[in-house]
Amino acid sequence: MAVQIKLMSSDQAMLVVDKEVAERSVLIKNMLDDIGEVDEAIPIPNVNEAVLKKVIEWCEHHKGDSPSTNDEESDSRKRSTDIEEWDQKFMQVDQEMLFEIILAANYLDIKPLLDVGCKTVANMIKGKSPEEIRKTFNIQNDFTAEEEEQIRRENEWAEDR
Amino acid sequence: MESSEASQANYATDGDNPPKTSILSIPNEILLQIFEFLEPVQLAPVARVNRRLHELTIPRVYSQYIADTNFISNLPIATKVPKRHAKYVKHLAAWGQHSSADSKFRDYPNVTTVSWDLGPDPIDSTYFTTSTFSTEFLSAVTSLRLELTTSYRGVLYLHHTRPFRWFEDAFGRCKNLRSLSLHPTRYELPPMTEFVPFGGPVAREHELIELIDTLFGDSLEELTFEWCPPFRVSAANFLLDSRLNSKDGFSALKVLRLPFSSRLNLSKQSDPHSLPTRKILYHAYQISLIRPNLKIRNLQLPDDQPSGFCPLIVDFLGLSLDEIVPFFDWIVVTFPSWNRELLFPEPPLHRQPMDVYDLVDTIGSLGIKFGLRHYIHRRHPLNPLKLSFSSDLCTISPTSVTLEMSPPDHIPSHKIAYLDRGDADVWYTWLEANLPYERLEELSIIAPSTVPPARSDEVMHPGSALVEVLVTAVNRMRIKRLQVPLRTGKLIGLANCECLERLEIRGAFVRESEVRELLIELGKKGLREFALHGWIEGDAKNVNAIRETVFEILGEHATVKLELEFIRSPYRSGHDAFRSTY
Repeated sequence: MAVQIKLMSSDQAMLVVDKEVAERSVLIKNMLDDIGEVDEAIPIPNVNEAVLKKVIEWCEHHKGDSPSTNDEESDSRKRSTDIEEWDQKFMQVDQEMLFEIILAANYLDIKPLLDVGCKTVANMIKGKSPEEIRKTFNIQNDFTAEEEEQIRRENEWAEDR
Repeated sequence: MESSEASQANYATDGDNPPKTSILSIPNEILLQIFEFLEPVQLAPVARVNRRLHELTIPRVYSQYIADTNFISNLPIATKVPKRHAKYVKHLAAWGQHSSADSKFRDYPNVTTVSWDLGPDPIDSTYFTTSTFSTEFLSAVTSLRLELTTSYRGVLYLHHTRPFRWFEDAFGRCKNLRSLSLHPTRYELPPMTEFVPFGGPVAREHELIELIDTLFGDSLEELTFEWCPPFRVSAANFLLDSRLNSKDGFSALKVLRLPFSSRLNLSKQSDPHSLPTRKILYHAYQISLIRPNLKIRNLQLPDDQPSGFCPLIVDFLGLSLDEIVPFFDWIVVTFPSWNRELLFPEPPLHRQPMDVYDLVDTIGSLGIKFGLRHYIHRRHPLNPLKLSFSSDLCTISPTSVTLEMSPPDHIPSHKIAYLDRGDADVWYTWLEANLPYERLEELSIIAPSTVPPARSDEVMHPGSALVEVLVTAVNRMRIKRLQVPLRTGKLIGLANCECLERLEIRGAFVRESEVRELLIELGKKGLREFALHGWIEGDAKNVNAIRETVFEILGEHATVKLELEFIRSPYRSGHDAFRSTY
């Protein structure tokens, strides 16, 4: 039977998860390597239960993935914003959850999940005008009219292509 | 795959109730990671959204710049840079002489990377030169990607003592070069015969490599040969055989990227320019032993996408077992994109038997270590996941094994490829070591009416040999569902199966007394389903006796499911077949 560990979310929910699954997080893996086997729950103070469950769901699906070397990872990152079908469905959540997952992946040091999150946001930006980006992400325009006009002129080259 | 359009619908926000966590609550370091997935053209609109995003994106928007504003390009990088942002330009893309005026580059003091399409043929009047560039500018270049285009082909035709002098003149002052990538984008390979009078492409490529080593060998850390037919033939080989074997050659090199060919693309196997993979692979591995700090990486060729892992088994012959393991390990690391779940060694034609036995055994062990799940003795043309023992097919998954044996009626006996005893022992050994015994829940052996004798003194029917292995081993498995074509006298061999929930016997001639003995044992252990199919030489009396026995023994269990199907042998003419299903 697989070794299991307990994780305690920021809202004090305890989740039991296979060690192999939890170790997709480099943070947790390093912690377990340092302290060995523990019966007590490992606190994850920056991640609430709902987000932690989503992160664990992702880790469970990807537990068999082979770790890639740094340079391959870098090449792959540069190549495209393609996202696997399962990951696309996984990321079909509201924006708040999407950014919470990204923050959690960053905190827990789960690089592939962070990449999927970043690619999802990048895909949301692609092809949009500045105004559409503001609307999508609910961002206020804090430029003065003069500044905005100057930046528009400077970036004209990008509009033609 | 994700498209930006497809992704947009799912993330709409409610403007009146903004989420607590939004893009603006994301720290800069993560926003920058998001922006890494966007090209400058896609990022330019983000720079116009608000001040914070402007400051974050501008350095990346202008980090890459096409020097030639007249060049019509689909490259997604900046074609105009405002003076106030010139300091951000790190990567310059230039075309030929047209854009290579020193004055143009002087505005960009922080350029360290140059992608240069060398454009016109260097032997004509527009001879390529960087003489107008300052030494300061060229010395600052640490990364150079050269698209050699037709210029490279031109020098190959020259019967000249120093055909690459132009290269030395143009780039020799890049004294701090760390990374060089050679990429003949629009290079067309002329017929091989055209090269012969000038020493052939091999000699020319060697000269270029020697020159690169002379100029940059002490500092060059990354060397990349991108897709390039002539380099495929020889340059990589030369690098490995000669320059990298020498302690003095490319002394600072840390990463070498070469276009290895997987040779899996059948249409390319006859391509005379295809890289001699077997030789190169082993040379590359040897170099990696000599130079432990050098990473050799495979460049994915555009028309040679490997879909399987294909070292020929003969490639390993001649190596000791101690050598095979690290070689295999190195291959797996060097070719991470190759599918490691499949191993396709071809059957060796000329070999010393004992070498092969050890080899198969070792590869079997490695298979477990590296997660290989399927050993394909001979690939089935339609289904590569099936193991083919001559005319019989075996499909192996982590929890089930199915062996489909060919009906002897359809295969003339002289065409059945009997294994000799030695080969059969190899497969025994491999199966013993590699079948997922611990996890195996289902074993199905689908056989015709009669299974040929497994062994004789000299030969072994391959499918029968496999049946013999499986049935012999079945008692130490934890199989729940078993389908076997056992003959009379063999049934009791299954009596020790501890976990059997369903037993199906096909193609069998069985006696009532055997069935009784077996079911008494298995019934105690939890057998819940029993099916008996196949040819039987007996008569209705025997059928009824078996049926009564089965119900007598297993009938008290509410969940028992019994299927009996008896059909008279078609060989006994004059008798009608009949079925009984319960």
